[in-house]
Amino acid sequence: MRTIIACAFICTAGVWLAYLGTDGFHAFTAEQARRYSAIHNPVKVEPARLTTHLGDEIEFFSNRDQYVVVEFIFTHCPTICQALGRSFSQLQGKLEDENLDGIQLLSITFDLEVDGQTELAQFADRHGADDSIWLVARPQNEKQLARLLKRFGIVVLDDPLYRFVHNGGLHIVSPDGRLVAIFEPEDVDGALEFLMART
Amino acid sequence: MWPIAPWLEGNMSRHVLIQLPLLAIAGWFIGRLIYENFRPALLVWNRHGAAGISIAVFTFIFWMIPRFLDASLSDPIPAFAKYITIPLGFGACLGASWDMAPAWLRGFLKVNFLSMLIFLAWLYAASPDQLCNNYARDEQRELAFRLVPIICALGVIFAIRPLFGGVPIKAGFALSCLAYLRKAGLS
Repeated sequence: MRTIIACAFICTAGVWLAYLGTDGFHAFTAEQARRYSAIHNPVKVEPARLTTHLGDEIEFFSNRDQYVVVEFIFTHCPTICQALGRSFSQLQGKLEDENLDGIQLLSITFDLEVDGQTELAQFADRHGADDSIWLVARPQNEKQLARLLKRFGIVVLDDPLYRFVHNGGLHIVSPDGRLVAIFEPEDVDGALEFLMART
Repeated sequence: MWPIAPWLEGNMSRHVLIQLPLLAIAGWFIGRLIYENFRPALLVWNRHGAAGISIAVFTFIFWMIPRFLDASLSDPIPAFAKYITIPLGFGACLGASWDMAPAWLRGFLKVNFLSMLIFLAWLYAASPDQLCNNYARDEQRELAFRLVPIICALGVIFAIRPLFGGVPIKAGFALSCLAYLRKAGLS
């Protein structure tokens, strides 16, 4: 009898813990968890002073009156960052077509070793970035970069072939500095729809 | 074990095929000690090993979810939880309960364990997504193919007794002893 009580307790506790741990059986991978948490429990991104490809120092994520769409890249990346760059080009085009003001596109590099201002400017050039909408920027030191990556939930792995492998997406930061949504790297329409509903 | 943890966790195969089993095996021996020393309490609270096996099954399912494996690499609390729950929740509970479990339950667990491993191998091999942010997809696929021989070996080991009884195991043991003795005698 006591075994049955113990089993009932264990099963209840087990299912309950699994339910809590997976956000109600919604998120089974860290990537899903990151996206789920952006929508349901948006965290505040700390303000960060970044150096742009134009050489300016700008403070981001601190009560600016605009939404910021953020992607993480390194300029020598042959795979996901090029897809992200293309998505930003498309997004930039659509923002111009729709005449949507008050939206900032921001590519942040995590390759501080290689990506100086020249590399960032080349990346901006290659993807046709319009300075008034799209900035490419680098954090000022490793510590600041690590904090940013942690806040956004980006994990960068060393890779022998491509230098880095990393997760990513289109991250939307609200004017009050919260990470409110994450879309697939190619999901330009999803991101645009979200932004149009909010602005 | 602290200095070697980063090495073990630096690669998905080492993490899943070496570290996790070692943690579980360490726990198994703790479980055997519990089984030998606390039998009266176990007979009340853990008849047929039901309670212990329930905990072990839930622990196993929990750590099979990629999210938690990932979290154990980036955050200290899940990492600590892993070092505690796999030896105690999985290894020790199984070790303390295994001999009390009826044969059908043991068979059921073995078969389910195998099918779960097959499912994982298939998932890691076929998933177009990188399931853990901390491990690249290549490592995920590598793990899948390393699981295949392990699954086959476990399948054979699990099948011998029900198919042929204990005889082949004893015969195999005797034969290898004989072979060893002959070799030792000749050289």
